[in-house]
Amino acid sequence: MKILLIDDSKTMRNIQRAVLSQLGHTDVHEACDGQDALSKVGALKPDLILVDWNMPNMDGLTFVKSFRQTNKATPMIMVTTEAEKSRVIEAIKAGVNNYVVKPFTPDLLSQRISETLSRLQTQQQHA
Amino acid sequence: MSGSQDATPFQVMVSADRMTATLSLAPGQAREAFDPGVIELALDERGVSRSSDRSARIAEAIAAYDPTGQEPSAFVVVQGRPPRHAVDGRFELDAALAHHEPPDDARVASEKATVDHHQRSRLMIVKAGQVVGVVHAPQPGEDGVDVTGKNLAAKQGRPSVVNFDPSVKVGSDGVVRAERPGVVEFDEHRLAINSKLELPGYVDFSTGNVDFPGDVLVRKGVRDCFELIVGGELEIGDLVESAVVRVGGSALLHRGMAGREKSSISVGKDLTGKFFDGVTIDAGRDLIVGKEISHCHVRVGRRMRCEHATVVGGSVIVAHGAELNQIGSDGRVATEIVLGRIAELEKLVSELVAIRPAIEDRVAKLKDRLEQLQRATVKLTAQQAEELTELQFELATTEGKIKPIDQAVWQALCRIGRHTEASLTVQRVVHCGVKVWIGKYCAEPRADVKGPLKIWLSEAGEPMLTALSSGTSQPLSTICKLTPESRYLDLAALRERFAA
Repeated sequence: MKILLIDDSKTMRNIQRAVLSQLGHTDVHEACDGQDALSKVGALKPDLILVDWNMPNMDGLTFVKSFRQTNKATPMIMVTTEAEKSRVIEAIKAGVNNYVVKPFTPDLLSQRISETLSRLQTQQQHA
Repeated sequence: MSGSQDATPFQVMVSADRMTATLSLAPGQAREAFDPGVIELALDERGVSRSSDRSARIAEAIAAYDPTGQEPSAFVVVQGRPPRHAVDGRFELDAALAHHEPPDDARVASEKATVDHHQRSRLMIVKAGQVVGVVHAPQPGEDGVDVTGKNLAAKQGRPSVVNFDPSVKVGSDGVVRAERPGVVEFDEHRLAINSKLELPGYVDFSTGNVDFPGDVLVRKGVRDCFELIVGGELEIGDLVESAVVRVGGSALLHRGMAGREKSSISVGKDLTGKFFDGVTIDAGRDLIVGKEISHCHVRVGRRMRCEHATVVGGSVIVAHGAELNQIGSDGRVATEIVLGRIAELEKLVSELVAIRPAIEDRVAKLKDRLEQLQRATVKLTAQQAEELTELQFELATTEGKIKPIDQAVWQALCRIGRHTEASLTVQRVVHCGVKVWIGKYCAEPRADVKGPLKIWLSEAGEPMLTALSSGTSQPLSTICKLTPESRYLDLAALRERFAA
């Protein structure tokens, strides 16, 4: 499974990569902001995207909206410090499938990823 | 050489082997006296076959003739071609083996290009798959022809007469490879790889150091400063001097080893010998000695079965019980016997136990810092949120290291428990000056203790002594000074700590 991590913090990307590795996912790619991610998704065709909100050049929400114009299927999890309910709703309306608020424990991130993938699998089975 | 006897100014001579036809021109003649046609006829009469070359050579001879010469001039006008006989097929040993070059990593390389003569060996030892040599196919010959045009047949080539044993394989390209590791046995009739090496004499300068993957039999002994490395089993007929011996399997020394404290022997399985003096010994399984172990440092992976032998001086660490005849001497030579220990496993346990506090300390610091951050701020900045996430990640990772360490320690302790037994049986006497390390204690006899006796550890961890003649038992402390010691791990305490 191909996964794309979008976050301007290298540290955050490393933590997410380590959590994914513990879950058995090693085909992990990175982008440092929304613009960088948009330039990569076409060729990469990831199966899952983890995206931060606050990033330079292009923030996460803008990326999500842009990406969802041509791709409604790829699951996306927003991993961000934005914790207010209105923000969460905004992100979900834009097209994210799940939401993780920083700071998070590795277990929580792991749980959200598993949840998202499991939900996707169920949807695909019933489709 | 036969020649014509008539009065012509020339003679035609054919050699006895009919390989040359020579024209001899008499001296003092004019060149015109020599008629090429007549010469040709004379050659024809002698049976020499015609060719344009022959005519040209006659003309050359006449042109080269010196009329003023005093002696006859001889010119070879027809030359036969000898047959080129075929070359028989043959086996050629690989150059490196033939020159007995030691392997690259065994050569002593230095700027001064010094050579370690111990490495020079006449033994051709090969690994499985190694090239041993090449079979050269017979090379065909070519017939010759004499001056009369008669065919001279060339000899036919014969294939190689070497018989290749199934232990070597001849490829379609003629390359011969060893099918198994061993020593090359080669003479003009046979090539084989013997997986057992038998040395009729000593391991010395005639053999060089020996490094053999299979079984080795040394009929005599091993000289000073040589190395004998054996992958299989080893048997040595005579004395092993101050050498280094390493054996993958078991070793049987019909005499013993006089190491003068400069030598070592390590054996994967059982080691048997009559005596060992000044040797570092490592027996993976049992050590069986007939007579004496003196001033040696010994490690035994299983049992010490030396019920007729004396141990004097040095130290012995034995995992699973020792049976000896006598320990120490009248002269109170310091001798140590350590019972029920597996040094390598205990070292591993020590190291694991030692790193644990550092990890626990780090975990405590991370928890403190996390709590500080969580208490100090109501609303986190993005940077603080990231720092918290990072701390939580590091905490999870660091805490996660403790469990595998505990499991590894527990497994090692269980293995030590299963494979060790602190027991010592002595038939004759334990002299003063001996120290016996058993359980948490070091026991030193206050006086010579006569056997037959058995020293063992009760379930409660108390050292006990049983007089085997009467069967009575008493605490070892009644006849020995018992000192609690921390030189070795307190395995009982560790088991209690890590059992949870």
